[in-house]
Amino acid sequence: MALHQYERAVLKAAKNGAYDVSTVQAKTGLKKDAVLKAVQWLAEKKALRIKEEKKTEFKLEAEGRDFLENGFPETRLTKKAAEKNLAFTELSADEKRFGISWAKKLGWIIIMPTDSGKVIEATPEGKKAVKGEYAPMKLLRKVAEGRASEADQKELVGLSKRGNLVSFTEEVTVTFNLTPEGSKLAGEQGEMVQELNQLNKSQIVTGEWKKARLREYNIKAPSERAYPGKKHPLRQVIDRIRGIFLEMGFEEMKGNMVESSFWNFDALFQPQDHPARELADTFYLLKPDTMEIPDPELEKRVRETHEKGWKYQWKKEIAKQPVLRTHTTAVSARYLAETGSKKRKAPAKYFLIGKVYRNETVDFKHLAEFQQVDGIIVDENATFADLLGIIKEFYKKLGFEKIRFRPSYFPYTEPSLEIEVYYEERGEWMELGGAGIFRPEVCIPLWGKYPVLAWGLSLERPVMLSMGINDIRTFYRNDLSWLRDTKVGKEWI
Amino acid sequence: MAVINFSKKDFLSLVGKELSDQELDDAVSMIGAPLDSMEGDEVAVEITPDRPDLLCVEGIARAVRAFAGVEEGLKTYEAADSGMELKVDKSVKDVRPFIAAAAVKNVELTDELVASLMQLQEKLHDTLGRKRKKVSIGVYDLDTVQAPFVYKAVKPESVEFVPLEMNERMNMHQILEKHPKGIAFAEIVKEYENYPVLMDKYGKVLSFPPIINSEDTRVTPETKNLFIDCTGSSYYAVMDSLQIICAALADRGARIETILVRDGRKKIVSPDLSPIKTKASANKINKLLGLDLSAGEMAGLLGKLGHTAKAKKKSLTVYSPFYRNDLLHWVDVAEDVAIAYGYNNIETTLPGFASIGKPDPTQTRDDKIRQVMIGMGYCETLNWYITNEEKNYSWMLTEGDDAVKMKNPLTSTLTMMRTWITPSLLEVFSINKSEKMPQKIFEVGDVATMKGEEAVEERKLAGAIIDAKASFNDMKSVVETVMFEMDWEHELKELKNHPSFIPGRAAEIICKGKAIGFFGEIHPQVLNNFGLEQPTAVFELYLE
Repeated sequence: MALHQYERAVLKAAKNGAYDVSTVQAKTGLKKDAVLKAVQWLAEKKALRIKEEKKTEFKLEAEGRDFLENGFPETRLTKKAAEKNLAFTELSADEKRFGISWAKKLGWIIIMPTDSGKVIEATPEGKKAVKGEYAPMKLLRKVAEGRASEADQKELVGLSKRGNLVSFTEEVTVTFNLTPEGSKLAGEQGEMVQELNQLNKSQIVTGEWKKARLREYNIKAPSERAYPGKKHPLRQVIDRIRGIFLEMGFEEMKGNMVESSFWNFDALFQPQDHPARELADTFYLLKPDTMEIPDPELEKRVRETHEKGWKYQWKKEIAKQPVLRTHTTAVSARYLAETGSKKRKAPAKYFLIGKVYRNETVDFKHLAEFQQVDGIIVDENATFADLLGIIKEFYKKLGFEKIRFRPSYFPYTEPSLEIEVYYEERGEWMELGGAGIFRPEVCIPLWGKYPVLAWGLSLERPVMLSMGINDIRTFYRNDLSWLRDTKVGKEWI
Repeated sequence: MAVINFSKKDFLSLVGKELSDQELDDAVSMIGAPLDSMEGDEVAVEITPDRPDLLCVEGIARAVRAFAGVEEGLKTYEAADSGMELKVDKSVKDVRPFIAAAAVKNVELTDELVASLMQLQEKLHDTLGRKRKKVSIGVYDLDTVQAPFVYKAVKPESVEFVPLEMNERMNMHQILEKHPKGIAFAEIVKEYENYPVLMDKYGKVLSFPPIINSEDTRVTPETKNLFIDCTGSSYYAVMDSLQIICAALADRGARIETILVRDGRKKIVSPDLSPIKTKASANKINKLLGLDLSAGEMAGLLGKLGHTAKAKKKSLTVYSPFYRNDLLHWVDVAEDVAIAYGYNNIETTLPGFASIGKPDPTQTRDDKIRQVMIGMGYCETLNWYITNEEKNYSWMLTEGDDAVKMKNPLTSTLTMMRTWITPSLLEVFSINKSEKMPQKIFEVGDVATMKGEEAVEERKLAGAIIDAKASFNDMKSVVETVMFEMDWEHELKELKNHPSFIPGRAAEIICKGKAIGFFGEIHPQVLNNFGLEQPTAVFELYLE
């Protein structure tokens, strides 16, 4: 049986005839707590039987000591009054405060009005009483001499109520007997070796550890929770998606959030009166208040495309209005134009994960700032079947084996589709992104060639669904308990 | 996206074929109008802005009839000449230049038709009509008015009539001030000197477009014949709207008759219900879609989406309904071939060229920095880049006029891009006061500032600690560790007169002679402003 060093010390002491805590303490040098713990543990192991004895100890306190030495104020007062009537001025402070009331209560004195004021006169009972010993005094003496017993307790409690005279402490005395098993166990204990909690350098270096015994721990004892530094849950998802794109041979794009309407809308064939361009949906900027359109040739091509396709008069001032980009496709448009101006090469695959903005009322379902993912393939030989194929691969890498497509509409793609994936856990199809082939009205003015495959998804909504979060604002509130409790080992989306 | 409601019973009778709920769901999804909800007889579907013809149950039923094989190919509509004319006065050219109109005879105004017509009118106003700015629609009892009609702009005080839902005659000024529709849409005409008005032969007012019709021409349950007009700022949008309404009414058995619109020297027969013709090459469509279909097969597929296509060798001539204004060229035909073929039936392939993945180097660097911060026990936070002046400046006891500012913020809490990260981190602490201390957080993120006339976006790193014992030294050791690990040389200088920090407890980080950041203990007044109760220290530095 594995015994704690305290337990072994107690058994050894008991073998030598120590059966109570203070004796064991004296023999082992252990603290009282340690002995009590060990006795308790040994009792649980049925090595010994505990006997507990409760004893109340009484102790004189300051006022009690004073009264024992100088007498109770009522006694002193009555004694003086028995000799001659007293004026109030002849009394000490405690005689005035306590003496008068107690002596009156006991019927030892009466207060007489005279011509020269009130005087205190001892009654016959008072005179008689002060000749013998006052009962409370006897009690105090008993306490002082350690003769007070349980029988006196009731009176002592009464006495203690009049002030700080006596105090009580309840002492439990623990004694024990070894059981036969205990005696056997005690016999088995060999020489005491030093038992250690923590090794130190000198014990390790000098070899002292060989003589020591390393205490066994309770391996199930609770330990303090540590809070590691870690990535934000959304960042973990972003990392995963970046990894998938890079594995699939995509190059990461980079672009600004402050963007002109030209790149955000016009280059993507969104007519200037399109509802998405309204003030109620898009953040327009006061500062900067205008942004140049870099290339007059490009501007002309975009203008002509709008005027032919949407049949209205395109205005440059509207295209120059700066916005906070409403989709990452604005960056794709710039990359496409850079391919057109030979700054970049085709065929190519690009992706971007970045912040986008909507001038929306923020609530549990809507954010004004969120992350979007965009992937494009710039290739003259690309087909719609390629788009569906690459999307399937992408979502398979994200963990979705079942995927289906549904016709949809975006102003800058044709054909357009919604991507739906099957969530095994939820047992339902969910929308997880949109895709399409950029219209010739986008590709030709920017790149001069056609087609470009594109797809994208917003990040927070699917992550929210897969985490079971009800409030989309959670992602940007940075509640530390949420950050600390969200597990790194889980894969979201 | 618009949502259209209709009765399933009415819909199925228009389709002319019994469909199970699942078949109905599949059919509307495949024509691009996915189900929003279906409860009992009430069905709601979502309509994308490219297909305003689907903004009524008649249009959805028409598309489903073709797709379900009840009636494939182009549905043709006849329109006889009503003999009526409408003159467009040049006074409207500056105000609301375009009008199209039609006469509709023998209309049976059933409850279903009235509900659908009202919904269609409202949805067209909201979508294609851009909240009546681009198109507004008027429907009148034809038998209460006399051709020829005139559309002109007049002084607002010069015309009086009783508007719908009112009992008294009002001039057009009074209508804008008092009538609910006048108040709601006044913005569209208010800036003009003259307002548009539509009158009949005797000067009887039909309407004050785009605001309100007159009570005298109101449609009642007894109405048999309708006069419909669409006015607006775009000829095409006006004509499309009228044609979509006419097609819906024709599907309900009404007879459409044209009106001759005389606009200057132009004579326009309205509505124009002749089909749109698009040429397409089967080769191009196959190449784009990655399919191998004959022109004949494509023609068959297009029939399911309401087109009639004539295949001749490799080329297609496609006749499409007049309302399909989304058809710009062959690519749009290709989409309908793909839809009819079924996106999910296409055998998928992968792009045929090889490419090498390439990360953005700044992202790679940022990730290293994150690792260093995480190694020191700092937790990453993600904060919004949009904020407001109070948090970014006032609470930090700083001032500035270098912010990228919004013109049209919805709320006063989101008015600018943040110019530094520190306030974001203090805000994170402010909502985590009951969490275990110490709290150590960081962010690698962007800030934006105006440099001259231009907005400049820059990547920064910031970290912060809050704790009873948090101090300058915590940040000093973190900053020095980051600088060491990233192999960036630096030296420190006392940061003077920065009101966000406790004087004498802040330092500036200098790299190659340039100040790239700072750290220190946050001033207790700032802590008060953010409602923080423990000492807090932060650092922030540019990464570029």
